[in-house]
Amino acid sequence: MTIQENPHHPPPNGVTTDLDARFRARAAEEHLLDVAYDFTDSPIGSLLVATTERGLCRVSFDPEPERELDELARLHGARVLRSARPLDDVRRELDEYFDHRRTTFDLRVDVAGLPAFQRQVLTELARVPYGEVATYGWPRRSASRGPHAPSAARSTAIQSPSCSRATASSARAASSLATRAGWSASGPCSRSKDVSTGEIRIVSWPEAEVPPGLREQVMALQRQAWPPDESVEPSNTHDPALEPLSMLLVADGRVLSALDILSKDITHQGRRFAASGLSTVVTDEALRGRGFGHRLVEAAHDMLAASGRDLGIFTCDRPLQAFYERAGWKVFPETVLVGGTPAAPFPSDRFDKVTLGDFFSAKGRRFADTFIGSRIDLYPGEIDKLW
Amino acid sequence: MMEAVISTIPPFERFYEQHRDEVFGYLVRLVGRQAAEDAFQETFLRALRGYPQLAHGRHLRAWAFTIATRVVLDLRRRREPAPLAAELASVDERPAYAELEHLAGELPATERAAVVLRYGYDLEYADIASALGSSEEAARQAASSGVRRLRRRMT
Repeated sequence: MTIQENPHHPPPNGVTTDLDARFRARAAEEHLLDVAYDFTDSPIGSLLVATTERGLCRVSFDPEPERELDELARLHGARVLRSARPLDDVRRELDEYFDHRRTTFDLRVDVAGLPAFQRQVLTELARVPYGEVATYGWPRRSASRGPHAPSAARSTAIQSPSCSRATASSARAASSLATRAGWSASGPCSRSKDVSTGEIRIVSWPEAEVPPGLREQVMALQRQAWPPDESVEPSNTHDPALEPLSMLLVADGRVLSALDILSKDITHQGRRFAASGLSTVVTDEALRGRGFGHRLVEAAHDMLAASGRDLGIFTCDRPLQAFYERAGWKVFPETVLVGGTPAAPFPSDRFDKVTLGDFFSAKGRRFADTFIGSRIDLYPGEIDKLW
Repeated sequence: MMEAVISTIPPFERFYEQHRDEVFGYLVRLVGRQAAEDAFQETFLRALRGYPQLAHGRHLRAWAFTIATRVVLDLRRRREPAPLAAELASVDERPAYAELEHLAGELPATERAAVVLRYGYDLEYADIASALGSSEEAARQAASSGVRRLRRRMT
């Protein structure tokens, strides 16, 4: 004979909802969780939100919970448990944000699980206040500014700073919200207008997390620029070891222009430097000559400057030199970038290439002279030979 | 390769969802529904404390039962006497055991855990031994003497 205390609870000998909730709350109260997560409704659909003791560590749109759990466990520890209470603040602030009652977030953010470069970028992005007409030339340490146009003069609308701030927890956070919230018609972010193409935004994700619809467009642009049979870029994806970060210039869901930023610590004349470079820069053929590529390349320069990388460095075909210079990049005369691997080097002086870059950190600037006119061992590997 | 996949420690959520109802049912059988709620929380809190020390993801079911058993034995040490047999839930698909179960509340705690783990949950004696912190032989004896005692009471 079963004693049914609560006629509403379905399994006769199972755990009641109430007991289950009490356990989940207590697990968090006793600080026994590596990650507490929960689901929350939002105007853009269900969001998975997760927090560690250090702060918000994930906001995922349209989550696949099983995969998310594995990933959270891998990044932060296996004690991942759904528990509503630790996410009360997150839920409240997100609700207020989506109701337009909140413009900044007071949430602590845990970026521990992210690669260093993404962490830098997101930390930087999180500083930008909500609603600022989001040019990528957000206030930066003036010391790092070269003789480029002042940021206020830039018209590229970049929504990611203010929107990622919502969630700046992780690249995924930004990516989840990017497509549906700030960058869609109903989003709370400010935007600028372009007469011919409507709202133009720059959005960025780790390459592997670019929403499929956008990713397909990027690949189509790449095929357009580098037809597969005479491919300059033999691979569609970059080496994950180079932490590829994709930046896209998007208007109304259409990708106008795209590039990837690759990153690696290099050793130059005995010193370590955090280096990044541009790769697979492409603009829709039909839209070339209208400054879209310029905006994106300039934004990438500014983002790297703000991210605290020591330097940016890459090569381009000689006819494109002026294009990059206009966007803030400088020519490193007589400088050779050695790609490939130490065993199979792939130096840029085998081709008619120009080396461009810029120095962003104090350390980078201090040792700038050692780079100019030298051979720089980049060795990004076999996949992205000269990134 | 398969081994590596199988033995991976799952996110706690998955472990908890897989075993919570069974473990709760076990606790209800041992200590009654009221006390089972506290024991349930304590069991999974202990599991959380021990989770980082797990070397692999095998035998997690037996591990959960082990913790639950220890929780009950600890409770028992602190607080006698045992709850009334009438408090015990007796939903069971195993009729032979179900006939006896309402009496199990009167057994000494160790015998009772051994009986329930063996006949209620089909645990191997090796796992029961580890749950009871005893040898396999002692676990076997606890279960069989528990069952003998129950049968005597039936008559």
